[in-house]
Amino acid sequence: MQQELDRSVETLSGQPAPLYFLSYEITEERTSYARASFGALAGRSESERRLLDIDLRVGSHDLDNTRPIRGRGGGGRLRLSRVEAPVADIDALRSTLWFQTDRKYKEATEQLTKVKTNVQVTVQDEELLADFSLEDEQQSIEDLRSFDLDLAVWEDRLKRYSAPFTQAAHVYSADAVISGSVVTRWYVNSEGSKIRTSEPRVRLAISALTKADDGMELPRYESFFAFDPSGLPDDATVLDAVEKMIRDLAGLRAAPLAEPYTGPAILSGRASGVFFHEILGHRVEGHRQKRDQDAQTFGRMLGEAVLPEAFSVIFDPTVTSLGPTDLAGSYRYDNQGVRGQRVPVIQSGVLERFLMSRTPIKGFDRSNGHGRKQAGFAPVSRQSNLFVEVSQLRSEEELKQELIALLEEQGKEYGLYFEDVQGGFTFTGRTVPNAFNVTPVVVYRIYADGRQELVRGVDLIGTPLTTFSKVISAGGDIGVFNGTCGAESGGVPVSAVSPAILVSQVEVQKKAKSQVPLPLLPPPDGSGPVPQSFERGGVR
Amino acid sequence: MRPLARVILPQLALLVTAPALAQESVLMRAMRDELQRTMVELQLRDMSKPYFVSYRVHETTSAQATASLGALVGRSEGASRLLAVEVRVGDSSFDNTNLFTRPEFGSALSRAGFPTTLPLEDDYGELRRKIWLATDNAYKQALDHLSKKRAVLQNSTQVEQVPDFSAQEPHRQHDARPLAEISVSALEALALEVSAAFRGLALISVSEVEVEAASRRVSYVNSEGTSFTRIDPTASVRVLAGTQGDDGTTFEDSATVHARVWERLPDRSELLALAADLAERLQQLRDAPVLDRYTGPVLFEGQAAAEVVRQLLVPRLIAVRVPIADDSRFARAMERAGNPFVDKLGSRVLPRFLDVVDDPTRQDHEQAALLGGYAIDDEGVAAQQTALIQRGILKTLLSTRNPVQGVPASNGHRRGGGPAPSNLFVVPQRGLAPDELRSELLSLVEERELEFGIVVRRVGSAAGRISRERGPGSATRSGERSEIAGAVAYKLFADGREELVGKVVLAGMQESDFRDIVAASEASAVHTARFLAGSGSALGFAAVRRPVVVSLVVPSLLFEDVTIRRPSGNIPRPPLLPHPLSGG
Repeated sequence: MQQELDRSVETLSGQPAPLYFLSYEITEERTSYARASFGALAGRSESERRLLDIDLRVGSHDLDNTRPIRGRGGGGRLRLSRVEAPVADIDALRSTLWFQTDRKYKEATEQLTKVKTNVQVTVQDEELLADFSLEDEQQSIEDLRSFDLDLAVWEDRLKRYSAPFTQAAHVYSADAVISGSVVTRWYVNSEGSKIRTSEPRVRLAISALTKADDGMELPRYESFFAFDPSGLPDDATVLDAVEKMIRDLAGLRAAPLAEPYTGPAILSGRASGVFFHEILGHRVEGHRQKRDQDAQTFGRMLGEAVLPEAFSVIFDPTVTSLGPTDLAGSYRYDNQGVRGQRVPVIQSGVLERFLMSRTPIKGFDRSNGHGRKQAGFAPVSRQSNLFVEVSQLRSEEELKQELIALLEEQGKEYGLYFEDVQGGFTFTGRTVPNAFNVTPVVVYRIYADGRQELVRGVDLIGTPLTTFSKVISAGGDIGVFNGTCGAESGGVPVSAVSPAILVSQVEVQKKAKSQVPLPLLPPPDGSGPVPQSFERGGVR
Repeated sequence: MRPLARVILPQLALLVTAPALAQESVLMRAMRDELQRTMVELQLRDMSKPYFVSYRVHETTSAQATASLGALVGRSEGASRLLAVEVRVGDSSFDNTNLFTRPEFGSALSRAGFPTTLPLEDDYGELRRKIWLATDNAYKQALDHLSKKRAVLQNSTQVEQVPDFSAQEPHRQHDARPLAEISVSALEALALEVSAAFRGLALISVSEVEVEAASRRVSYVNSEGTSFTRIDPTASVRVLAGTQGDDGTTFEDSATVHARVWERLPDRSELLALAADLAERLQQLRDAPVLDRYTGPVLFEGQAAAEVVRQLLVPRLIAVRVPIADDSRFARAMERAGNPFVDKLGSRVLPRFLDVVDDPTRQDHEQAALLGGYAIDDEGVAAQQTALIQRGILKTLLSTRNPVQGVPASNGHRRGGGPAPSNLFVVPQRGLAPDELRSELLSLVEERELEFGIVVRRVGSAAGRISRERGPGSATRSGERSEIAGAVAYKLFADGREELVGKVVLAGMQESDFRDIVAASEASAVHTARFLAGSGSALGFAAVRRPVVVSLVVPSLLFEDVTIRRPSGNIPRPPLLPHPLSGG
């Protein structure tokens, strides 16, 4: 890699449109996967591949080929490529690098010409911001890691984890999935950085789904994440979770349908984590403050209070675990060769900074190690591990009492408690409503007398600034949500860590619902063979 | 008498039951049992019950390895068992099928029409559960589609009344062999070794070798009493390479070898020779003089003749049923997707001296193995020889149980999601010796007062693309292009001299050109390739589409008029740096 990089830099820097930056990143993924459904093995695969990403820049840090072309829908091409590269042999690798570098260079020079023209003919609405930040070189070579994810052993465990669902009535799908991968990245750039990281990850996920009598599909999902298979919970813990899922599903099936509602609510730690990820996290990603088609919700709010003074929000990829739970969003170097850094975005309620890749924005000309991507995509600023830190934590009971007090104040019959969520999505663009949607799966009504009642069929919706102004206090247990976040630079692993929070007003809407009724026939009982008398004309 | 009877009777009983017991796998039993329950009990209120139900399960174990210059690029292996459920409501003259409607992706449980993942293990109870739920969804969707279809036709009179489903006698056939194991490490070793052939060839700028193998078993049962199990493994080695000329022109080509099972792929030395040939061909093409444009008689030899038949003629030989669209926006697209040859049944589509026959029952042609054969098709119809074109006249089309005007019954050609050829023979009634064929070309050349004629020895296919970049837009649908790339063409002069020409494409060639074939050779070459069933048709969303392997047996063909020219579009500039291994 280094040889070909040096050779390319030397020659291409002397061209009429000189190259000023070149990086190669190779991402090797070795993955193992198995799935069991209702106690039977349903799928298995193993694969390995190596993807090459080249970041090649011509022009200068101030203006280069990556600048989005203004006034054109989409603004800047989606630089998606899937180039697979051989790694085991230096000559084979050099050949691939040579061929792809040449291709990239030609694309880059062509693009730079377009960028220069575009800069002349369109309105540049602010002082000229640079396209690429200056960063220090990094040298770090980690040992190559591997792990033994013995699929034969895991297949057996997955069967045991998914088997209890066979005893539950009306559960129509139940899967247990193990997926493990070792991701090794080699990164070199023309600034002298040389990085190799090697990272095993493993995830155990259990999902099940039931249907209410009116046809509404009701899912439950549990997942466990660790950097090593030994970090996953033991059988007893998983089976306890499975039993709870079965109870929840039975409860959900029988639960009344929620009505559209506005009023106070408590979000559990996990629910709050997703809530912050969607509402705040995606809006403090630096590059979204720059692009002309983004709404830039928080762009002008630097230095202003956006949350109560007790609240701070920090992104920190350097923290690898919280108690026994590993955090998926941790890493040492981002995809632009910059060391991952702790970034306090909101301190004492005040918005202080953004998550930065090497794309500078107004007031921030350096990366803070959040330029991330899935292999094959171009990096942008993305979230890592999100921590909601609150200085005055209430107990769970105090939080509930505060909610009940709010009910009286607002004249509401009940408030809501979001115990678990499946995920969410948000729109940050200008041309669509700047809204979010968090998908809760377990929601209770909390009545003024403290009684709790499970309901089904709600989505938590809202617009970011309004919702944020309603956050009041936090308390109870700290919840961790480990997930994968999808955006323009692909899927990246992230975590969100938060205590439960009390919000004075949330809005829920009815969930979109399947119109397909319950199965017409009862489940097959699974008993032995039945005489084959019905077959007309069947010849033996 | 008595003692004799006692001896015979148990034996008879054994004869009657043993085959059934031996063949009845747990999977088959689960499918049969749920099928029976479905036919007897499944009914939504007072709506109609299914009149036909079938279950088809594809069990696949597959492995793949890709290497470049002796280094591994990627590999994968996996196993799956997928169920496709077909439920028909109404009756065979008018049912829920042949409707094109927006597919519903909405919910996790009700994705009717998409295959259902079954457990890999023979867990009877779990198999039944999955089949039960899939049947339930398919039945509800069938009722929905039947009512949509009735609604569309409420305000119009159907001009052509073609039934939706053709009748078929029940048929049973079981292949009890186990699924073969595949060694991914053996495939990887082969890919590494063959790809190393390109080391040291500095002119070849990109190269790759992909080895794939799959063991597949299809298990089928339907409510008419038909059932079968069929084993159809596949294996292939694909060698790809590319180079760039001094002016920047890019050349890419591939060579693919197929086999029934991976153990029977050609040995290393043969594959290395294949790779060397490919490299040699590219280097020759790269240095060959450019031909701007040629219109006139062209002789297609060997692979080239078979490949133009596969790309241009074969898609016209399948019975494509145009579905009714429930949305007028789709209606026109549906019409375009139809096969114009449906209207040409009884017309002359080839010269009088050519026949076309499809024969899945043939195993070989002369010494060469034919790989497109099978015993029973995906709907349980026995494989049969089908005479498609006789004395140039189109007699019938390759069909399934989905009839089209003029082809009312299945001739056992449903594979991979739609009608597909198996072993397709283009048979000359009078064939010429190689010399005679060349003289024939030269006499046409003289008649046209041309300086030379053209002989095409290879034609590229979509499989010839370098796979390492799977960017958007790289997919090509065969039969829809007006340009066929990757031709290797030679000028043939009156004195018999040949001269290779640089990169050219076949421009604007189409199926009607086949009528003007002037002559064919006596001998035929065997060419095996993949064919994506339903290509050029509107079939698709609901079916499990996968390419099937077909073998073509085609003589060299002399066309009266073909245009060959340089490819259109700009030529990229050559690389700025020399190849890293060129010593520069």
